[in-house]
Amino acid sequence: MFAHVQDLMDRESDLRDDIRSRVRSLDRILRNTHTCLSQAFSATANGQAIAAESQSLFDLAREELKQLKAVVPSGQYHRYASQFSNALQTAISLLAFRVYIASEDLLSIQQVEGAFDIPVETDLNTPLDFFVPLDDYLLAIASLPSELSRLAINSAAQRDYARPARILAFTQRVYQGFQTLNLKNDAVRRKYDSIKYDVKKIEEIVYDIRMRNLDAQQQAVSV
Amino acid sequence: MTSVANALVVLPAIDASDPWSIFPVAKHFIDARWERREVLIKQSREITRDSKKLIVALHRLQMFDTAGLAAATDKPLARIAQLCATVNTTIGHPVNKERFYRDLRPGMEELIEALSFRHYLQTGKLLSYEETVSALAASGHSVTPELYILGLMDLGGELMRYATSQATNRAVGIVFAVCHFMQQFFHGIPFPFFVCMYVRE
Repeated sequence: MFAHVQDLMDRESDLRDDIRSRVRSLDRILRNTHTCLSQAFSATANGQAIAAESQSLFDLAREELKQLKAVVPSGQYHRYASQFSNALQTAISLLAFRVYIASEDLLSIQQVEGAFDIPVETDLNTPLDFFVPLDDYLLAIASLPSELSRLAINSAAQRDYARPARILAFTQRVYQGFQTLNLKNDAVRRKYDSIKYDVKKIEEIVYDIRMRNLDAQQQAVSV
Repeated sequence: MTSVANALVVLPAIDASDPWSIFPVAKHFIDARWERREVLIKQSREITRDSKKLIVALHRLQMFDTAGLAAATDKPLARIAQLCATVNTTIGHPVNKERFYRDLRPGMEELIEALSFRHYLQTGKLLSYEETVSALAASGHSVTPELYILGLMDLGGELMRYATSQATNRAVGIVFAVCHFMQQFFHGIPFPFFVCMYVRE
């Protein structure tokens, strides 16, 4: 009675296994990428060098994503998206961190496309076969502030007293960007709520530096 | 409804040199998606409601009563087909079908329940997956295996109800036929895979 249905379900199950193994490979590469970029916390002054060092790993990630794209059936992106959504978010948040330590700028969607060869969706009516859901991009950007709060405190610990203020300005700008969105009670909303605490942490670091007059002293010395 | 899919709004543009320009675009995207979801949920509820009404009407009918079935169900089914076509228009691009799957599922499930119930009364047989696919393809909808099976699960409940009321009418033959049919049906269902699919949904 159900032979055909059973067969379809079996085939889908196999496909999902395939996707799962691609995601596992991608996760492995992303873990290595994370280790590489984490050097930025112990050597806050070497951002650009570390960013350059991570290039080869991002290239590997792009290759994995190409493999993943080949496996996901066209026209049914959303059906399987939940299997690799987390990995995609991680990849983009690592890229965002890399862009920040290299140039103190926000990762743009053009840069995502350039790094991974995958477009970011920006409109409901444009047909795209394989893409980064806008939610995943937003969630990735929203995880920057917590990394940046670590960067701020490590910068101060490594005697870069001007940097935390710049990190604060950037993080506030990210927070303000999210404030303009009409978020519902979903994952993006929850991430947005947590940004507030990261902002607070960075504010406290900047306050601390200001109270001890460390930033003015450093500026005076460098003049 | 059409305005949702084809709104002549000035879309915020992305400035390639300014990464912060993504936020107005994101705002517009999130708002548009939410709006479309709301419309789809409303339309899907109409399909659920009409399908349920159809099932109630089917309960009053006798098996193999082609004329009676046609009289009771042709018009409602035509209306439901129209609702499905409207949903399809609202969805817009086919890739959005999966995007809004969660919102459309209840309506589609109820519809498959109604269709399979009608089919059983008409023929005494189970509506096959292929027949379900072609029935819904006319208004542009696809049927996933798990959606089909979910609809059939609901059918089981309706058949039980039908057999019970037929028994009250002393139509014992029908009761036995339905019982035999359901036994075949439940032994045939690819149960373990179905459970996995359902959990995933």
